Amino acid sequence: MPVGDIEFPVIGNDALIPVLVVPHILIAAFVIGMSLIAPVSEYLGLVTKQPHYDRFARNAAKFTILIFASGSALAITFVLMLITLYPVFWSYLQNIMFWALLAEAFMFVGEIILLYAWYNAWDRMAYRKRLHVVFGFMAGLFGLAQQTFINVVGSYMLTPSEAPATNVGATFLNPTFVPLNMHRFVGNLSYVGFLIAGWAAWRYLRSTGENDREYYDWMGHFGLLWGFGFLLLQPIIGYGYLKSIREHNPAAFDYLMVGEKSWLFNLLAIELAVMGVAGVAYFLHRLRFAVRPMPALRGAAAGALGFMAVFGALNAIPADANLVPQIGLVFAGGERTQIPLGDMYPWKYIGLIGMTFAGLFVLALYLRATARGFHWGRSSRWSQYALILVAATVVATMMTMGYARETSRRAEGPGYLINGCITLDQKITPETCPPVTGGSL
Amino acid sequence: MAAEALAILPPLARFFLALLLVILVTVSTVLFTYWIMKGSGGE
Repeated sequence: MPVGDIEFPVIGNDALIPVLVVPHILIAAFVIGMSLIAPVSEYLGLVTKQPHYDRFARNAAKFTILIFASGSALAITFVLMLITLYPVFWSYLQNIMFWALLAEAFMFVGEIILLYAWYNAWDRMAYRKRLHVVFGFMAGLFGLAQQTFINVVGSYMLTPSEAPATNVGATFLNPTFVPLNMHRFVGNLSYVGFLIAGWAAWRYLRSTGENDREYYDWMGHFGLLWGFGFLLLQPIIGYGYLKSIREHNPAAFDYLMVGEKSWLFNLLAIELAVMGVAGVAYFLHRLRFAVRPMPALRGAAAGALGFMAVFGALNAIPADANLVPQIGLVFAGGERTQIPLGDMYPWKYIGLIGMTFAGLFVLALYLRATARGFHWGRSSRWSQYALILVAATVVATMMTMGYARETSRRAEGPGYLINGCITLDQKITPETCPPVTGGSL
Repeated sequence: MAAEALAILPPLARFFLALLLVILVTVSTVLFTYWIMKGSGGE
C-alpha cells in the first residue's frame, strides 16, 4: 500500500465497518419498509375514508424523511471507510459491480426526490389523492430497487458466480441473489410492522386523551398485522435462502447451522418464539374487544397460543452441549452430548411448520374479527408491553441475522471478504476464484 | 500505538464494544430524529 496501512484504534478495521453498517441497515430497512407501508395506509385511508390511516401515513412519511438523512450519512461514511481501509477489496468489488452500484446510487436520488415530494405535497395534492399515493408508492419502489442492487453486491460476496465477472447476467443473478432479495423484502415489512406496533404501544401507554388512546391502540394493531403477517412467510423464504447457501457455499452453511456459529440460529429460534408468542398473546387479548363477541374464536386462539409456545420452545432446543464455544459456554463434553429433540430433522421442521400454521390460524381468526371491527382505546398495559417486546426482539433479530450472513464468510480457509476471491486481509486468491475477465485474474 | 491498543483487547471484548457502539449510534440517531419530529409538531 503506497500510503501505509491504516489501523483504526481500539476496535480495529473489521469492527469499525459493522459499527457503521448495522445502524445504517436498521435505518435503511426502516425507510424502505415504511415507504411501502405508509403509502398503503394512505391508500386505505382514501378507500375507507377512515382518518387514522392518513394521520398515520403522514407522520410516518415525516419521520421517514427525517431519519433518511442520518441513515444516508452513515452509508456514505461506511463507503468512505471501505475505500480507505479496504482499498483492494473495494476497487475489485467496484470493478465487478460497477453497473449495480451506479444503478444503486441513482435509485438513492430517485428515492430522495420522490420521498420528499410525497411528504411535501400532502396538503397541496389533498384533492388529487390518487396521484399523491402514486408518489409514495414510487418512492417505495425506488427504495426497493435500491435494496435489490445492493443485494446483488451482498449476495455476490457470499456466493460469487462461477461465470466470469464480465458475464453481467450471471454476476447479477448469482446463486443467492433472488432468495436474499425475497428474504429482505419480506423481512423489511415485518420489521417495520413490529416497530410501528412497539412505537404505538409506547405512545398508547403515555396518552391521556381518548382520541389519542383510540388512535394508538389502532396503530398497534395495524403494525402488528404487518409484522406478524409477513413474519409468517419468513420460515419458508428463509429456508429457501439457506438451501441456496448450502448448495453454493456448503462451508458457510455448515459454519452457521452445525458449526461454531450455530448458536446464532439458536438465538434466532428464541427470538422467533418471543415474537410468535407475544404476537399471538396480543391477538388473543384484542379479541376481547371485538365489536361482535366471539367466545369460540377466542378459545381457538388460546389453543393456538399454547401450540405456538410449544413449537417455539421445540425450535430453541440446541442440538448438542457445545452451545457458544466463543465464550466457553460448553458443557458435558460439548458435541459429544446430544440433546434430545435438538436435531434439525425432524424436530426443527416440525417446530417451524407448526409455528407457521399456528400463526396462520390465529391470523385468519383475527382478520375475521377485524372485518367486524374492534372497540379501540381499552387495551390493557400488558398487551402493549407485548408490542414493545416484539419491537425490541425484531431489532435483535435483524442484527443476529445480519451478523450471521456476514460472519459466514469466515467459514473457509483464511476467511473471505468475497468468498474464495479476496481474503479478510485483502489478499487476492485467483486459484479459488472464478475468472474475472474470461481468463484468470 | 493503535496496534498496541488492539492487542490488549481480546476479540470478544472488541465484539461487545462494537455492539455497544452500534446500539449507541442507532439509539442516538433515533432519539435525535424524534427530537426534530417533536419540535416540528409531528407525533
